[in-house]
Amino acid sequence: MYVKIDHTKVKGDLVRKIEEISGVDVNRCYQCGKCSAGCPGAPFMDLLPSQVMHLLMTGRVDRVLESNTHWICASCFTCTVRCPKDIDLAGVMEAIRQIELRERKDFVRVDKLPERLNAPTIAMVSAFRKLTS
Amino acid sequence: MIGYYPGCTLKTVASIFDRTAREVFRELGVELRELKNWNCCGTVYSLASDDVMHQLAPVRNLIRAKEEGYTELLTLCAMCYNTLKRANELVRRDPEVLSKINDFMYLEEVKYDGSVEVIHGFELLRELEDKIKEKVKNPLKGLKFAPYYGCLLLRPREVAIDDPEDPQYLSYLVELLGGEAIDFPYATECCGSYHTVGAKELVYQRTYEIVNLARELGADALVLSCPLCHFNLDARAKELEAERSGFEHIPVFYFTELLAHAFGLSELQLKQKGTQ
Amino acid sequence: MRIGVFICHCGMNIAGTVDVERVREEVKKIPGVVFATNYIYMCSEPGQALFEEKIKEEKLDGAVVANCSPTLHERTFRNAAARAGLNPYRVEIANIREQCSWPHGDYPEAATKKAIKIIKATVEKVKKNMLLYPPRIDIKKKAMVIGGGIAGIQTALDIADGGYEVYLVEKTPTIGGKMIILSETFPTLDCPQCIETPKMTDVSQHPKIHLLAYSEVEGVEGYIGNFKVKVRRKASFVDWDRCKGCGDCAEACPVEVKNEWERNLTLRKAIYRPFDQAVPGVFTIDKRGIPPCRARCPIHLNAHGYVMAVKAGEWKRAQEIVRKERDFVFAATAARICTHPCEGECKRSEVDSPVAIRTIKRFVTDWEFREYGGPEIDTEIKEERDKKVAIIGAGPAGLSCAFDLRKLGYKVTVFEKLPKGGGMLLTGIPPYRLPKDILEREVKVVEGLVEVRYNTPVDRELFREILNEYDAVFIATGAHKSRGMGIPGEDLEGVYHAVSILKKINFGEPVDLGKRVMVVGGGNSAMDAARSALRLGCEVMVVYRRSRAEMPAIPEEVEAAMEEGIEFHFLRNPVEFIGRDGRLERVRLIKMELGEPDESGRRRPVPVPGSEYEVEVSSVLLAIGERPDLSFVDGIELTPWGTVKVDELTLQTSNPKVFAGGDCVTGPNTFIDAVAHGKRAAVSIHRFLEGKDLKEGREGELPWKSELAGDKSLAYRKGRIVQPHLPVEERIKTFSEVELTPAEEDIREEARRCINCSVCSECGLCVLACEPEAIVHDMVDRIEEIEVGAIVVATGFELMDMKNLPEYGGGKIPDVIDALTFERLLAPAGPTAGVPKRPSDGKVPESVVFVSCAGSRDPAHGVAYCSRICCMYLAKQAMLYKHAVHHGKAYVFYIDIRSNGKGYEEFVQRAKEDEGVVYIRGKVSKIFQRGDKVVVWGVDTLTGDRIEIEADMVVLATAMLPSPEAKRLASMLRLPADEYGWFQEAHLKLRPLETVTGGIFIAGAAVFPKDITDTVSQASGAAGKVLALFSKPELTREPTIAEVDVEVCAGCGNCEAACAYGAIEVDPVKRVAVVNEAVCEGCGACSAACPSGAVRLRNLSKEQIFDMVRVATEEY
Repeated sequence: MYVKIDHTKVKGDLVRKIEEISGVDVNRCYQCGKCSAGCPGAPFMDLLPSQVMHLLMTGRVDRVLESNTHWICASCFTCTVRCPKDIDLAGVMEAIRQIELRERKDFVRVDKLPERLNAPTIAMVSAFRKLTS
Repeated sequence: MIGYYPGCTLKTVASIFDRTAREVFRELGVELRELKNWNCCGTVYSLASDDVMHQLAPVRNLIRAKEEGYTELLTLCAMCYNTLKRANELVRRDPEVLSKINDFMYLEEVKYDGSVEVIHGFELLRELEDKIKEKVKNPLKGLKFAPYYGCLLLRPREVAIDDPEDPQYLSYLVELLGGEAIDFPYATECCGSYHTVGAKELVYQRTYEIVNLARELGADALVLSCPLCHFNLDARAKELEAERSGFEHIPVFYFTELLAHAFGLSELQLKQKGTQ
Repeated sequence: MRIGVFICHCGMNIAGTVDVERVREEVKKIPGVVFATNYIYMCSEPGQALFEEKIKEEKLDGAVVANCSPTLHERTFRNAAARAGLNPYRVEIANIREQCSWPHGDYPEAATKKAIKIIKATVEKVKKNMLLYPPRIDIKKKAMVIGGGIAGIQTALDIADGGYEVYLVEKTPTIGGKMIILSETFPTLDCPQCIETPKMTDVSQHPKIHLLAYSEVEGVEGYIGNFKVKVRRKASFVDWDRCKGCGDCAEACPVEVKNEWERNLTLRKAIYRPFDQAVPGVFTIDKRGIPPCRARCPIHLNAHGYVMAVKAGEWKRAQEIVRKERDFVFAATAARICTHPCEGECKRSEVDSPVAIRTIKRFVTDWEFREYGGPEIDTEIKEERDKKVAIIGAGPAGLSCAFDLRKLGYKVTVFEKLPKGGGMLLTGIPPYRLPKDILEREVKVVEGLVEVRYNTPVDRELFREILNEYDAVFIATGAHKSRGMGIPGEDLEGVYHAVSILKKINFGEPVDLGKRVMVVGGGNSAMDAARSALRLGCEVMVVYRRSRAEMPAIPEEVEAAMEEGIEFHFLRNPVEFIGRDGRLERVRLIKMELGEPDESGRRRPVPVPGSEYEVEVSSVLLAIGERPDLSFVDGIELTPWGTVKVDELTLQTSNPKVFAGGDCVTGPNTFIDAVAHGKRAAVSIHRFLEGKDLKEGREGELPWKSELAGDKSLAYRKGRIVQPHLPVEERIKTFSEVELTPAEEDIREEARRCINCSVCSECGLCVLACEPEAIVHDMVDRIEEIEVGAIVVATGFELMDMKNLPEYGGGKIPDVIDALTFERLLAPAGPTAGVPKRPSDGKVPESVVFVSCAGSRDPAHGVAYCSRICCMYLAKQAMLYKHAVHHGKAYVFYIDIRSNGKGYEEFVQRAKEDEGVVYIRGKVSKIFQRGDKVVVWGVDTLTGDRIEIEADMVVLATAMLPSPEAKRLASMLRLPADEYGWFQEAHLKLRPLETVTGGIFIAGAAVFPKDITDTVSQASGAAGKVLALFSKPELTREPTIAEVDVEVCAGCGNCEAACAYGAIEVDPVKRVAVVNEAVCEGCGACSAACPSGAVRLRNLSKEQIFDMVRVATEEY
C-alpha cells in the first residue's frame, strides 16, 4: 500500500496555519537532519523534528498530529540556533501544539497529576502553559 | 538605575539563590531593589505569532519597572530572563504588538515603550570584575566545577548572554573566584525542563547523562543559574539514585552561592570533599 | 532619412503574442521609415540575407531590427549591416521579446501596442545616430598570471607554449598551491608529487616564463592590451641567484616555527624552503620585523639574536652580537647590573615569565672573558679625522660616546674629576654586584683608544677653554649630588648620604656606621647601601614611604636584600632625626598610607596623622635621589629641575656644538640609558661635524614598543632559569660577587624558552653556514613595473577557519582537524609518512569520522553554497585512511553525495563497496571531547535514529572560501566579486573565464570551488582566451563610448569620480575632462554625473533620449 499524497493538503490550510503561527516557511527545510541530531528530546519522540518538517512539506499533517514530537519538544532551541537555514523549529513545534491546544487536546491532564506535585512553581506554570489548554 | 525581578521560584524553593544574590551584590556595592508589585513573567515566552495575550504578563512587569524609574531590570532565573527579554525584544521590534498590548492594559498609568533593558546577573557581574577580585577572601581553591548554562541564557541567539555554542562566562567567573572550571561538553544541553511535571522519565534520562558526565570529568559540583535546572539536576538526581544503581548525584549550586562562599559570606555545602 | 524596420517573429516567441503584421503596418507610417517587413527568424541565415539585401535594395541609411535583447543579436545585425555597406552604428535593436512579448503574454493587444511604441522610439534614436568607427589599439603581447597554484601553472604553461612571454606571480616562496599539499587526487589516486611537480619544473625551466615567486601585485594601471602592473618582490633575504638550495643555512638556523605547508603539523626554520620539491628550490628568510626585546633596548642590542646563538651553542657568534655589533664597551657590566627593560617586554611572560636575557648575556660575557681574557671588541679606526671632541665625565655615557667617536676617527679627550673611570658604576655600584676588575677591564678598552685626563675637574674656566679648543663637546657628568630630606636633624653626625658612603666603600676607605643602620629610600641606591652596610656587619633596616609594589629598585635586588635578612618597613617616612651632642641617636618616623595616584602614576603616600613613633639607630643612609652638579656650565640652558636641556633625540643643547647625556640630562637613571645617550650623542656629534642633518632617519634610535609576538603554542615547556648565587650565609660576610656564571646546559635550555617574536632573530648563523654567501640580511622589498597585454587571476581558495564552527569544537579539540590537514597525515611524504596519527598523542586512529558540509550549505552560520569537492575528497580520504589502517573504521556523515564528474560516482561506490566506508545520511549537530575520544552526535535520517560515534579522530570538510588576498586584488583590478569574494564572470554560462574588464581573465578556484579537473580545464581555457587576444594584430573597441564637449566642460571632475573604470580624467592643464577610448566601457555613469551635459555617450545623446521618450509617451 502506498501513502497517497493528498494534493489539497500539500501547503493546505493546516500547514499554512502552522506556518502562520510559527512564521516559518516549511519549504525552507532541506532535510539535513541537524535539528534531529542535536535534539535532547529525540529519544522520546515518535518522529524526529526533521521528519516532522518533511511531513509538513508533503502535507501529511495527520501523521504529525498523531505523534508526540511536538509535546516532547521542550523549547530548548538547540535546533533553532543550529539550523543552517535559520528555521525556528521550536516555533514550528509551538505552532503544532497550538493547533492541538486550540482544539482542547491537552498533553498533560491536570486532573491526573498527583495531588502533591513535587516540582517548583516555574516547572508547573511552564508545563501547564505548554501542555494544557 | 537597576531594578530587581526575583520571580516566583526565588521566593520559594530557590530562596537561597535570592538571598545569596542580595548578599553578594551588596558586598559588591549594588543594592538589589526589588520591583514592587511584580507578577509572574509567564515562565515561558510564547512562540506563537498570533498569541499576544501571553505577552501581557512579562510586559506588565516591564511597566512596573518603568513606573519605578528603572532603566534596567535585573533577573537571575534563566527562565524569567528569557521570557522578559524576549517579550521586550518583541515589543521593541513590533510597534503594532506594543500598541495592542498597551491598549489591552489601558488601565495602567504608564504606557510601555521598550525603554527598560532586561539584563541577567552575569551581565552586571561582568562590569564588577575588579570589585569581585578585591572581595575574594575565601577562594574556591581545589574545587572543580562543571559550568552549566542550560538553554535559556543562550538560546535563541538574539538573547544570548554569551556565545550560544561556546559560552565562557561561568568558567571565567569560577576561575576569578579561585576555583577550577572543567571543560564541560554538556554545559549547554537541556535538562528536560518542565517535563519534570508530566514526563519525568525524560528528565531522569537527561539528568542521568548530565550529572554522570560531570562526575566522570572530575567535577565536585555543578554551577548554574536556573532554578528549574537546579531542581532537575539536584532533586531529581537524588531520586534517581534509588532507581539506577551506581548513579550518584553531585552538589548543584547557583553561581551566587559560589560568590558568597568566596566572599566569606557563607559556606558551600559540599558532598564529599570539604572546603578546606 | 531612409530607415528600414525588420520585425522578427522569433517563431511564436514574439508572433504568438504580438500581432506582427499590424506592427509592420503601423511602423511603416513613421516618417523616415521607407521599408518594413517581418520574418519568422530574422537571425537565421535567410533572415540575415534578407536584411542585407534590403539595405542595398532600398538604399537604407538606417535600420531597426525588432527582435530579442541586444545582448544576443545586436552584433549579428551590425555585422550584417557592415557587409551590406551600412555603418553598423546606424543599426539599432528594438527589444520586443524580453521587454514585450514574454512578460505580456496574457495581453496580446497591449503587447502589440507596446511593440509599436518600442519600435517607434528606436526609429527616433536611429535618426540621430552618428556614423561611428571603432578605435584601434596596440597589444603588448605578454601576459601576467596571478597565483601559482595548479590553475596559474597550467595557464602560464599554455600561454608560454603558445609562444608568448608570461610573468607568473606567486605570493609564497613556491608555486604548487593547495594541490601540492594533497596526498592523492580523486578519482585516479594520482599523487601531486607525480603529476604536479613535473609541471612546476616545466614552469621553472620554460624560457618564456618569468617566475616571480614571493611577490605580490601592488597596483594595476591601464587597459586591455596595455596594462602596467606594479609587483612587489618581497625581500627573501637570500640572493636566489647564488642560493644552491643545499639547506646548510636551515641546518644552522636555531629558530623553529610552524610549517604552513605541513598545515602546522611540523616545524620549519626561520630560513626555509617550503618543501624539498619547491619551485624555485631556494631558501627564504621569514622576517617579521624587530622583536619587542630589541626594540625596547635603549641601545637596540639584538637580544633575540644572541639568545638564539646561545641556543645553538654558538658562543663566539653570541659574543659578537653582545659585544661587537653595537660596539658595546660595557657588555660585561650590563650582564650584571642592567635593569633589562628587554625582559619587561618579553612576550614569553604571557606564557609564564620572561626569558632571562641578562643571565644569558652574563654567560656570554663570562665565556668571552675566559676565551679572550677580557673584552674582545673591534677597535679598528677606519679613517682618521682632524676634528676634536671633548667629553666631560668618564661614566658609562661619556666613555661610550668617546669610544664610538674615536672609532669614527675623531680626536677625543675625556675629562674626569676622579682618579678612575666608570662614573657611578665605580662609585655607586658595590662590588658584590659589579666586581671592580670587570669594570676596570671595560674602562680600559676606552682608555686604550682615547686620552682620558683623570683628576681633572672641569670648572667654569676650563669649560670655557674646552669650548674654544674643541669642535664639539659632550657633557656627561652624571648626578652625584645627594638630595636632603629637609627635616630637622639632617646635619647630625650619623646621617649620611648613601652615595657618599658607597663611594667610600668602593674606594676601599674605612667606614663606621655603628650597629644599627637605617636606609631611607626604595631605589637601587637604597638597596646597594643597605646590602653594603649589611656586609660591613651592621643590622640594616630599609624605610620606604610607599609599599613594595611601588619600589623603583629592580625586584631581584629587593628579593636578594630580603633574603640576606634586611628588614623592610614600608609606608613609613622619617620626620625628624634626633641626636645628642650632635650625634644621631633616634629617628622619628610617621606611618603613611597610599592616596590618589600622582603624576608618575604611582599612588601618592600621605602621612597618617598621630602615627609617629621612634626607632633607635646608629646611622641613617639617605638614598632618596641624586641630582647633577652643573655649576661649571656656562651659557647653556638648564631645565627647571637643574638638568641640562637637550633635544630628546639628538641630545644637542642650546649651544649647537655642545651635547649632553646620561644622568646630567635625565636625573638619576639607569646605566643602559646612559650608554644609549653616549652612543646617540656620538651619532649626533658625527653628523654635526659632517654638517649633516641631525635628525633625519633616526626615529628608530629611541626605545620603542614592538607589537610582534611569537607563537605561544610553541613555548618550550620549562620554567625560567634560576641564576646561581653565592649562598646567603657566605655572601653577607664579603663583597664578593653574588651572582655566578650559569651552567652551559642550563643556559641553552633557557635560550630555548624564547618564542621568537620576529621569527628570524638575525643571529647570523645562516650567514656563517652559507658557502655561496647568498644571505643578504639587509635586503629590502623591490617594486617592479611590468607591462603586459593580458592578466589571468588564479588566486585559488582557502578553507574556512574551524573557529567558525563552535558546535564542532571551534578548532579547540586537537583531534578534530580540517581536510587539508588530514591530507598531510595521509601523504607519503607528510609528517607521518602516510599513516595518519592523531595530533594529540600520535596514536594511529582506529576510527575516523568525516563530516560533510562543515560551514557549507549553511547560510545561517557559514556560506550558502555547496563547496562542490568535499563529497569526493572525503570519499578519497576515507579510502586512503582504510588503505593505511586496514582494520580502521571510517564513517562519512553526508546530506547529499555530490559525485557528478567522470568516474566520480563509481569512485564513491568503490569507497563503500571495496573499502567498507560507512555512509550515514544526516548532518552532525555537535562534536566534543570525552576522555581521549571525540564524540560525534549525528543522526541517521534514513532510519530516524540519533547517532553517537565515539571516534579517535574527526575530519571536517570545512567550507571553501576565496583566498584572503582576492578582495584586495579585486579592488585593484576593478573586478566585481560576489558577496563571498569569488570573482565574477562576465557571464556565468557563456563567458565564464572573462571578466567585465577587457583583458583580465579568471580561472580555477578563485572563481568558485572546483576540483582539479575543472580547474585545469579553466586554466587552459583562460590561456586560450589570452592567446586569442594576442593572435590579433591590434584591438578594436566599441565606439559607443563617452565623449566630452570641451566647449561646455568646466573640469569639475564629477565624471572622474563617477567612472568605475578610471577611463575619464580631468586634464590638469586644460581643465577639461578627457576620455581614454581604450578603457571606457560606455556605461554612461559620467554622462549622468555631468552637471553641464558636457559628457555624453555617443549615439545616446540627451536629444535622442528625449525624442524616444516623446514618441513612447504619445497616445496611440
